[in-house]
Amino acid sequence: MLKKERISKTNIVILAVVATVAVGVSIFLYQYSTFTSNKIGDIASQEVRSNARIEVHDISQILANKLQTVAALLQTLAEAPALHNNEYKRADIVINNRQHSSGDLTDFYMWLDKNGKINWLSNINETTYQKYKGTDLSYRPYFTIPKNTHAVYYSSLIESNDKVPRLYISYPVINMTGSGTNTRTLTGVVVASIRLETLGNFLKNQLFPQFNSTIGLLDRNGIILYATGAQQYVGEYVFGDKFQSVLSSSSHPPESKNLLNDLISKSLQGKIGSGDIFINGKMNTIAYQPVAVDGKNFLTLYISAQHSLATDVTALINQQEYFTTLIIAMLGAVAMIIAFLVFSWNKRLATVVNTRTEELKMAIDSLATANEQLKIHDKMQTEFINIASHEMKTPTQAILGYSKLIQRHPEKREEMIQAISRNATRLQRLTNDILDVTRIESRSLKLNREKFNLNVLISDVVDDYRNEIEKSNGRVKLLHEQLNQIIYVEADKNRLSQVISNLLSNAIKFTKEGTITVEAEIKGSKALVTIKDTGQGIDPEIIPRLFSKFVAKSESGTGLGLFISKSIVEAHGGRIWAGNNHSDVNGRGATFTFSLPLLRPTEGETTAGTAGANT
Amino acid sequence: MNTKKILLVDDEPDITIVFSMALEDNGFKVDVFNDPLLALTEFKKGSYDLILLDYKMPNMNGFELYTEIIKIDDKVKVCFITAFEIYYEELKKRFQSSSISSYGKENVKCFISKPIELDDLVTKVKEELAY
Repeated sequence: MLKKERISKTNIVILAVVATVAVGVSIFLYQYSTFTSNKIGDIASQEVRSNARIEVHDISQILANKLQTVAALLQTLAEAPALHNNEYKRADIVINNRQHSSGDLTDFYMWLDKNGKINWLSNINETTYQKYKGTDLSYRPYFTIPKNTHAVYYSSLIESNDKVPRLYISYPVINMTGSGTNTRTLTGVVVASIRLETLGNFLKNQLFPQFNSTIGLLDRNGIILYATGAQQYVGEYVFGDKFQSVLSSSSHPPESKNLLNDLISKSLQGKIGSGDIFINGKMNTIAYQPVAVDGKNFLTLYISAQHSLATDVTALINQQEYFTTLIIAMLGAVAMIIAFLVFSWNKRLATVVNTRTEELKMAIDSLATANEQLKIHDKMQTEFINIASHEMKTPTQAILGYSKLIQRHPEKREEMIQAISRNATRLQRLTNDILDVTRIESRSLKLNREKFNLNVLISDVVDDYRNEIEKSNGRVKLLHEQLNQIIYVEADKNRLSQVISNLLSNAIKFTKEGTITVEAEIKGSKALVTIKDTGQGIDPEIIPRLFSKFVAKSESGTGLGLFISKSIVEAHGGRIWAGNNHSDVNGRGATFTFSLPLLRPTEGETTAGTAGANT
Repeated sequence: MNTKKILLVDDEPDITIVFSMALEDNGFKVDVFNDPLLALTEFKKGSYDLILLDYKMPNMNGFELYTEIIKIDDKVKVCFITAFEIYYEELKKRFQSSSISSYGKENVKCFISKPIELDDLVTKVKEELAY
């Protein structure tokens, strides 16, 4: 039991260790892969961030260069003699030439006179010239500002007459005919027009195709000039209600709106930088840089790059992480299941072994018991053979001796023949008894049962003995008392008469003088037969063993009679017992009683039976 | 030759009759007892040349009688007679073991197994007395 408990404790410990190791390895792997994924995510984010910064820097440089080129072209145009001399034909060529040079960005070049009216446009013919000639644009800042400042001007967003949003760069045409400040006479303004759409396309083309980034452009006042995929907001003030409400609705989480506004404010102050902001639930790096032309911040460029790579990597790593965890969990579970199975098999095996051991023990025990019984039986058998041989050898010795002596002593012939006969009879009786005992002990005693009245059988036996007694000993009276006249039993007549004869001959043997009474009666479902004598009684010492073999032996008895009688009675389903009539006084005789099951214990026969003596 | 005196104790009268007649026919004087207790009370030192004892007897067995007798006469020779199949061998062993006093051993060298031919019995008794 103790051993079992110890085993189950060991099992629990092993299971706990397996579980702990599985959990520990899972946690370690989870931590490790989380760390790795964060690291990779960080690297990827860093990459995105630096890429965005590089991109915004490069593109703003490209744009600035481009704008400066346009400004330079305007400057050369403003200095062109054709314009100073109002030579339209030649002016057309130089203007077209400028437009051709910067056509990837500029829409057209325009020459205004000193009053702000169109003198000439690039790429026009006589017909279109007539259409635009003299159009008054003197109210436009791109005219008024350079007119007043005599310097290059970069416009904010301007809705043109044709409703196309444009940016303008303008340069004053100044005649340097005299000397001193008063000699600088403004004769006109040259203007380069940049369509926002073209600008946008230009910017878009500058984007590194491998980066998933979008571009945004604000003018120095915060007006949206360009935004990838959001052209509807062009012209809106970035802090205006319309754009802010859009920001509110697309900001996840809400605080990212503030972050974005902070970032825009910072950028509009001319700073270079970047920030990570969640837009629509996804991390984006927004890098910003002002586009400075001639040392002035003209525009602000924004590159927004989504951390999709980082997100993808993280997702992949997370997936890997889950997969690893799952595999470890499965391995752990399999280990646990195997451990459980092994333990349960062990347990079952132990149970089976225990059961078998118990069975074996029981088998061994029963074998030992059987062996013991066999030994006892063997000993008893030996004892029986020993005593039986002794009993047989004594009459044999007598017969042998008398046979020898009879020749030498013819005078004692009669006496010796009688002795020989007596011993031969004794030998015969002994042989019969030994055969009976053998039958009883081998359980082959056969009963030939028949239905008869017990009193009739008793009468027959009693009559035989009465004759014998009267011949030899006149001092003993033999009575047969029939308390019930008819006592039906189903029994072996010969065997029962053997029992009654044996009990009667014993009584006669030990009663020299007095009365022997045989009684038969019905008691309940039994017939009782009692043989009562007034003889010497039974030695109290042998009463407990009275019905054993060779216990009660008389001179003429074999010592087997009572054993055989008991066996016969018991084979009929009855009992036999004996006792002295008085425990303290010798010579008051003994009583032997045996019972037999009744065939029909009917009331009528019981009450009809009258007590009577038959002497 | 002196008439040798033999004491025969056996509870079976037929045996004592047959044995005593056979011995008397050969010139021995035989005293017979069927009751060992009576035999003991009657026993006197130097009365017998040989004692024949049955082993299995009621009240007192042959060995018990023997141990009493040698207390009275430690020189007397004794033969045991027994019809026991198995006890015969055991009895012999018993006398050769140290379970009885050393002087008693000297007296018992003779065991007679029943049934025995009367001539053989006489021969055995003569042999025993010749020592």
